[in-house]
Amino acid sequence: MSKPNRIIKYAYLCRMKRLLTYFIPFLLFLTSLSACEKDDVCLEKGTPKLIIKFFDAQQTTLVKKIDNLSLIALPLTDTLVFKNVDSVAIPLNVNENNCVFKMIKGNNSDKVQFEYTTEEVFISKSCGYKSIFHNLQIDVTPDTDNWIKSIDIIKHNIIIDTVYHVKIFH
Amino acid sequence: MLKYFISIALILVFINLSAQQDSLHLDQADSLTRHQPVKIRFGWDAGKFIWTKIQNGQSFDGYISVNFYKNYALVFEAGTENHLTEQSLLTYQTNGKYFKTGIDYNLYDNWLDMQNEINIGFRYGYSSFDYLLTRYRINQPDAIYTPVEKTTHKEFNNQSAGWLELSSNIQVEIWKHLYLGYAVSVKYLLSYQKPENFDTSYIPGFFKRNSFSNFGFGMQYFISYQFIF
Repeated sequence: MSKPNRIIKYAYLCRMKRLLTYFIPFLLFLTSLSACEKDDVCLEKGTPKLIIKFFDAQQTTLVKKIDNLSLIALPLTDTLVFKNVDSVAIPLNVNENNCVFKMIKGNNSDKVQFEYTTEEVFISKSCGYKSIFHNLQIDVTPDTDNWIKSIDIIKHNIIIDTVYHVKIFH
Repeated sequence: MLKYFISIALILVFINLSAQQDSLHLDQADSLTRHQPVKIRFGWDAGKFIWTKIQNGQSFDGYISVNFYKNYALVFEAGTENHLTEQSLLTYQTNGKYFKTGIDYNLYDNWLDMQNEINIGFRYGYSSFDYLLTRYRINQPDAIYTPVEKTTHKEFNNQSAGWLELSSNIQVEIWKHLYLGYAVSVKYLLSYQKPENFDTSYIPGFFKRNSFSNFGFGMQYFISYQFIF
């Protein structure tokens, strides 16, 4: 290599070095950007709820609303009140394989037992685990005046809660 | 034409210079230049050690850098890490070890016989680790029956991950051959295994994995000692 070329090359290399030095603050900038942690906030859905839709007992294809429905989760005393609804979403008990709800339509109270098996599914780091339910079975305790005429389980596995799983005819 | 005037003038200056050099026979000085010494640096990531101690974890990270040719240095780094992650819904332990290897290029021109460095380089990192889930609580929004805290002992063993790092570090001699260093790096995760019914989150040597991108970042504070042969 001739001498002038070598000197030009050296000048060029010095310039390159300076350019590369600018790269360090750039790296620092990138570092500060990625320091924000979006992952600490849970955005996904948790355990699905059981969705029950109400239908007419005579004309079984007709959706029939309930004016005043109360749900009491036994043995707790928490009451969920629904007004003028055609469907309800119930959070099932994930600690046990069954739970009993008192479903009160107006003044008529029916005791409904839900039985299922649970499966724990990992969602994400921030959301942790959720439960999904399999082999759903429902029993209505018979009394002299049941407002629930019959029950039809559409989906025995509760994996998502965007569709209804159970039909209740009244 | 005016635009190129300065450039042409500069080139002419260089040609002029070289002509002078020729007449001075500076090449003869080459026979007197010293052979470049081999520099080996042993470093310890003090920042990480202290940081994990604060968080009741344990870690060790050390590296060797060999300045084998001009401004280039071969770097080997290895470490072990025990890290505890505690979140509202999960508690898990990460235990693992990792190594990194790559090349550093020193950009810094020292005065006289000073040995400071501003390095830029890349690394390939590989980590093998285990997760141990010790506690969790089911995520149930609007729960009536509040989900209970469950303690378990679920192991997710033999996990591994590989990544590339673009790294930059500064090494400053504070005492004879003793250096303080600071490094920042941008990392890109190449591969990892997703454990069954769990997820890869903390990776020893890589730090936390994001669910929205494969990029990560790192910062290190070093104390190192350099041998010159």
